[in-house]
Amino acid sequence: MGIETQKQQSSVAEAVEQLVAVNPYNPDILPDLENYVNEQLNQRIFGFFHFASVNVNPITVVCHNQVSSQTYSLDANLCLLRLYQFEPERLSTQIVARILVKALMAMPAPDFSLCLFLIPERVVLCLNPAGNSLSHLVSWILRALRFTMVGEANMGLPDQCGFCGMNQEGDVPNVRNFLEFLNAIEDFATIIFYHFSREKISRFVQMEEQFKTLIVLSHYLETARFRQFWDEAAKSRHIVEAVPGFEHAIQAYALHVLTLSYQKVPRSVLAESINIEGLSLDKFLEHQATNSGWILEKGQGRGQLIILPQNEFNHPELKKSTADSIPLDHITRIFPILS
Amino acid sequence: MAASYDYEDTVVPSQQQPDSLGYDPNFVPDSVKSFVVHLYRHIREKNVYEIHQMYETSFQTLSDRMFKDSPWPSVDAVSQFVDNDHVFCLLYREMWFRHLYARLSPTLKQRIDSWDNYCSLFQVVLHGVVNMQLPNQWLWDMVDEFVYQFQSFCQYRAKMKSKTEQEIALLKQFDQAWNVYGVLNYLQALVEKSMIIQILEQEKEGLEQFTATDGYDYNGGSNVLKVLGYFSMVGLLRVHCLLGDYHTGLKCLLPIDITQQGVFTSVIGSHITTIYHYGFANLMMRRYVEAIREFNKILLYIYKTKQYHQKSPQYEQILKKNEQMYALLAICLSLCPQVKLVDEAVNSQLREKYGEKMLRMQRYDDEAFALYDELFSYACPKFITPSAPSYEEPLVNYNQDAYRLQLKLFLYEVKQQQLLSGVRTFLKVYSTMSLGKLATYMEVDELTLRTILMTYKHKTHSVDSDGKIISNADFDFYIDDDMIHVVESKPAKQYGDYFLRQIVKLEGVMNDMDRIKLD
Repeated sequence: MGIETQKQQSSVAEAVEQLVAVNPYNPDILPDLENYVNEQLNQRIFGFFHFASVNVNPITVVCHNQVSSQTYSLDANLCLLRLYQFEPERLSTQIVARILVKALMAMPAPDFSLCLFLIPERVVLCLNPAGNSLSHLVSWILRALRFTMVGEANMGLPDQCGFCGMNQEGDVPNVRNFLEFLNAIEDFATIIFYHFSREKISRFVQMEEQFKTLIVLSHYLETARFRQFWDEAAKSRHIVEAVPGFEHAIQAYALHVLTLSYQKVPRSVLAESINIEGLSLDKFLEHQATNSGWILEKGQGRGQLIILPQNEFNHPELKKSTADSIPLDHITRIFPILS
Repeated sequence: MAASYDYEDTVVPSQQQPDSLGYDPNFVPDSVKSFVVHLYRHIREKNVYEIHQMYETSFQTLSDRMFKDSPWPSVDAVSQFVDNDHVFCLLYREMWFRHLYARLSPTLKQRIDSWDNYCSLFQVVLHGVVNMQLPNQWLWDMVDEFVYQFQSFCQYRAKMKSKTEQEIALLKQFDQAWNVYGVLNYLQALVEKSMIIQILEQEKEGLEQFTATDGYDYNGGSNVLKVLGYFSMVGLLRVHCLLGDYHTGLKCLLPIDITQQGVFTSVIGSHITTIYHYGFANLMMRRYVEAIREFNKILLYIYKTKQYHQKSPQYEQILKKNEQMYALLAICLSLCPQVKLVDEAVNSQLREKYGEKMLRMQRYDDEAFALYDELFSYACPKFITPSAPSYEEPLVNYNQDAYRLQLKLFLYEVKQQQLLSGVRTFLKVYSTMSLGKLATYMEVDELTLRTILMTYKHKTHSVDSDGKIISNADFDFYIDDDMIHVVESKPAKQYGDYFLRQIVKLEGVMNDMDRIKLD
């Protein structure tokens, strides 16, 4: 069964990558890629549904197959973000958020930043002003501004931002005011931008609160602050729990960083990093000891120590010298001479 | 239709007006007539050497002498001298527009016409009806200019505030011109149709010759599609970098082994563009060692060969990219101080240009961030927003958006690494020390120190394209309970590759000597 699922997973990943490889710049595959992202996250909800594959489109079959699997294809997700970047009016923030969660799970690979590089910030403002209606645009901007202002109390708004009162009175501004209004927003964004170096992460300007949370989570992971990460993740269950395997993936990343750094790690440090404590931790350690060669050492008076498996990063003497090896295709260049 | 340029909708005043310059698109001076007649003949005779001479030298000389600030004669006026040859006219117009973009400001109409011309030209090539042999330089310039004009169009379109009603009407009418899908699909089609990826694969097995002949076909065939396809991979890398898609960009370049000589090194412009974007993408993906290594190589190459390019029309461009790559190298080395990877000549140039700034960048205060900002902004590609603007009032400029996003995310990365240079300072001077002691030195508590040390590990170990963990650390360490043990990593010298190169070189010399007949 386990092998079956694995096989299925890899074939799903292959099939979607195949589709992207054949159509790297084809807007028509956008819905298929969206399905792919949805399916890979909603498997638990849709797991019992039967998908009639009436469509001969390869990706639909792919989705059908991957219902009960966890697949991840960076290429497919980047391709979808690229299509959104080209046609922002088709962007679904929900799907972008899911892609970002998946990218977090791919740590230590830089997938999260790779995705962020492709998500334009002013999409909604410039190109999708909610049905082009002015009042929608205004309400969007005010919403954006509210997000922006979280934790901005000490920075203050620039003087020309008197328009904030406008909202309370409920007036829709005339176009002239509105232009000033936009300029003010731009100025404001610029100010935030220049204060960037002194900013805390929570001041990141983003179009959706959800994205902001994910960026905070990514920041904690990138700076190995696992305690803060797990606290923050607990507050945002609705985002991360939508994705099966999230907790496990982050634990794997934490273990990766720990094994890069430690030969022997104190139990408390390990517990905090992977957010497992007490009896469950004992069980986990036992499992690792039998399966992954961990050694548990009785601490002298202090806490327990765990000896992590050796690798070239925590035991530098294991590092293979690459100087002696030459790739074969470099040697092929002298074959004609040797013969 | 295209040749009768309508200068009425020009946005640039005075010097663009035909009357003030007396520019008559239909007047063909004798020197131009002779130029096109000869060029046409050389192309028909597949005389690559002469074509290259005329393309590189004569065209520039004539441009400098007669068309310093006016366009060349229109294609309609010269076509009678070249049997109205369809393909030649497309090539002529390609040069015509390139000259216009370089010396004047193209109008919107001209931008659209140039797009049409590229479409016609690439379609002819893709349908395989071209049997010419063109110099690599020219074929590279086509791809390079195609991407440049796309970038230029996106920047132009994004400045919506200053658009006239006429321009907006034209933009709406010709919404397919320089459309991002169109641009990417043309490049992709050239790559696929030319079978270049397969050719490069087969070359490794000795079944095909491409690199050895610099892409030229000595069996009577044409090199145009193959070499255009080859350069299109570099074009795709560049477009993806402009879009902020570094992973996909590097993927497009994979078929080319940039550690070896190749057709991309046969044209200096292509060589520099390839490495500049390759290095930049690696920098953004935190693969600093890889970026440093390639920047070092190309900067050393430019340092040694600069004087040979002084007369080349690309000379200014070479110098500019050279300076930008020094700035990028300064950034890489500030984040990942692996100076040992850098050649002495390059290093002394770097110290001269950025030595003082690099010292200040180590401090990670506000001033240091301003410097990272400055260097990045100076040296980054001209990022673009590929989507069409909103034509609804109010019109907003969004030409800075893409750049700001990339800059912000880059500075954010710098911010995450700000405490690492402090760690490095201590790792340099101690071989072992306790966590408690280092915590005191760094004025943080022990738990925070543990996170800083793990951040150091995470940030200095990148994941390569195969998913393997690669260490970028100059000083590495491991923690045993609460003791830190420091290990200095020594870069391995690649003697193997050096010897291989020398063997090939020696063989070449011996072959040359054999050929000399002594009598």
